[in-house]
Formats: sequence, C-alpha cells, structure tokens
Amino acid sequence: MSTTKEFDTLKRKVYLAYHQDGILDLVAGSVVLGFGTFMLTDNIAFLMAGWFVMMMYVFLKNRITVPRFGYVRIDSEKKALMKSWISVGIGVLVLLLFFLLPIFLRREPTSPEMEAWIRRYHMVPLSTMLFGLPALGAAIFLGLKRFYLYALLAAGLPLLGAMLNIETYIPIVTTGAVIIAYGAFLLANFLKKYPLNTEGEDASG
Amino acid sequence: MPADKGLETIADINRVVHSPPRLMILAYLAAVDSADFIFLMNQVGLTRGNLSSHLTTLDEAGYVDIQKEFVDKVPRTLIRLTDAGRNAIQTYRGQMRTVIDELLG
Repeated sequence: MSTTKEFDTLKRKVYLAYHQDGILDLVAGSVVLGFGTFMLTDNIAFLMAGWFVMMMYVFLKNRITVPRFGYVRIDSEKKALMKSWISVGIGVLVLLLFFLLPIFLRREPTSPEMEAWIRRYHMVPLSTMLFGLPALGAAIFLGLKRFYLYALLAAGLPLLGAMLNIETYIPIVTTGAVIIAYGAFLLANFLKKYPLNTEGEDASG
Repeated sequence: MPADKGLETIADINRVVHSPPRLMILAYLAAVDSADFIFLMNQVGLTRGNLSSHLTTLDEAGYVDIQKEFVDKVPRTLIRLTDAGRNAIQTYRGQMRTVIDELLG
C-alpha cells in the first residue's frame, strides 16, 4: 500500500530511527578494517572476515534491531537501496575510465616518475571506489548524513597518507576503526534507548 | 456564519480517529507500509494493554488489519492501515483544517 505524501516527514523520522542502531556502520567499518588489515598482513582471511560480517547484516538487524525497535516495513527503502547501488556502479565505472584505464592502456613504457606517482597515490582512487562511493551512495540515497563523513575519510585519509608518505594501509585501517567506533557508540545508545522487548501473549488480536 | 460551519464540522469529527493515541497509531501506520506491535508501542509510547485496547477499537472500525504470525517461533502482530483507515485519517485532516480555518483563522 502506497503512503501519502503528507506523512513523508514521519516516514523519514521512522526510517532514520531504524538506521540509528549503528549496525550498518559496524559492518561497513568491518569491511574497511578487514581490507586494511589484509594490506598489512597479506592474509586474505582478514579480507574475508570483513565481507563475512557484511553478509551478517540482515541477521544482525533481525537479532538486535527488530526485537527492540520493532518490525517496520517502509516501501521506499528498497528503491533507495537500488538507487544507491546503481549510483555506486556508475561511480566505479567513471573512476575506472578516468583514473585507471589510461594507465593500463598506455602503449609506451611508463616513465619512472609516473610509476613512482602511481605507487604513491594508487590507494586514493582505489579507496574512493571501494569505500568512498558506497558511503556516498548511502549518504545520498539512504539519507544517512554520517556517511558523508565516512566517504570523506575513505577518500581523504589515503590522499593525506600519500602526501605525508606513510604506509598505505594506515589510512585504511584508521578509516575502518573510526567507522566501527562510531557504529559501536550508536549501538550502545540504541540498546540503552530500546531495551529488549518481546510481544508476549497480550498483544492485540 | 463561518463559525457555524466550523461548529458543524466539530460535531461530525470521527471520534475513533480523534483520540490522540489512536490518531498517533493511524499516523504512523499511514507513514509506513506495515509495522508490528512493538514498533507501535515504542513510537506511540503506550503500555501493552493500552495499545492493545486502541488497536482493537481501530480493528472493529475497520481501519487497521491485524495479522498474527510467528517468526523464528516468536509471535509477531503485524498491523497495517486499511483503505478505510486511510480515508478516515484524510477526512479527519480535512475536517480539522476546516475547524481551525473557520473558528480560529
């Protein structure tokens, strides 16, 4: 059943409250941290662990959020998610075209200066594509403003790291850690605000 | 006189919808596709018994559809607004706007 426009403000309030549990932040942060730790250790288990946590998103929502906040279905949520993923896909393609393809398609050997530049700055477009764009998509289409900051961190910290010539994994690990820390803070507040609640037998019939 | 029209409208106001807790329930249900008992309890701030009583009133008026189901062996009462409920809340909005415009405007 479609909702009327008059209730959009209330719908928005419900939607934002539903995503104020920090779970999306925790899973997103785990993916970033897993990638950063993989860069540090070369152990693919860390990369897989990050993605494993990501796949647990629905399970965590059902186990943590729904029993406390309650179950609610908002019809525009799926459309927003779809838009988000489409924009991420387009963004990745655009970045590939403008940053990476010209490098790979060069016929003449890359100059030493160019190679040094690529080695130094390669993490900037990579982190922007892998983490910055999905965060930007979540910020724009899901309306989660804190994801603008995450997008900025994902693109800005690797750039800062490259400019300061520090190890490439450090900005990625830092980004992941910041996202996880804020997610944990949100989750703690959510658990405090919404204690565990089961329907019991006297729910309306 | 304009005030008369406003007074007539007050007399016509749907008392099932006019109750603040029921109005809040209907507003939340109008904003979402469907919701469960716990969600409404959290948002509206009613006790379990009060919410149950108001939902029964709305159900009897045909404004909400209540379905009971089990999810992972846990009971869930899923509530959605019916077309009659949607019409009732829209009519109520119009009536309240008329009252405010005619009597206070």
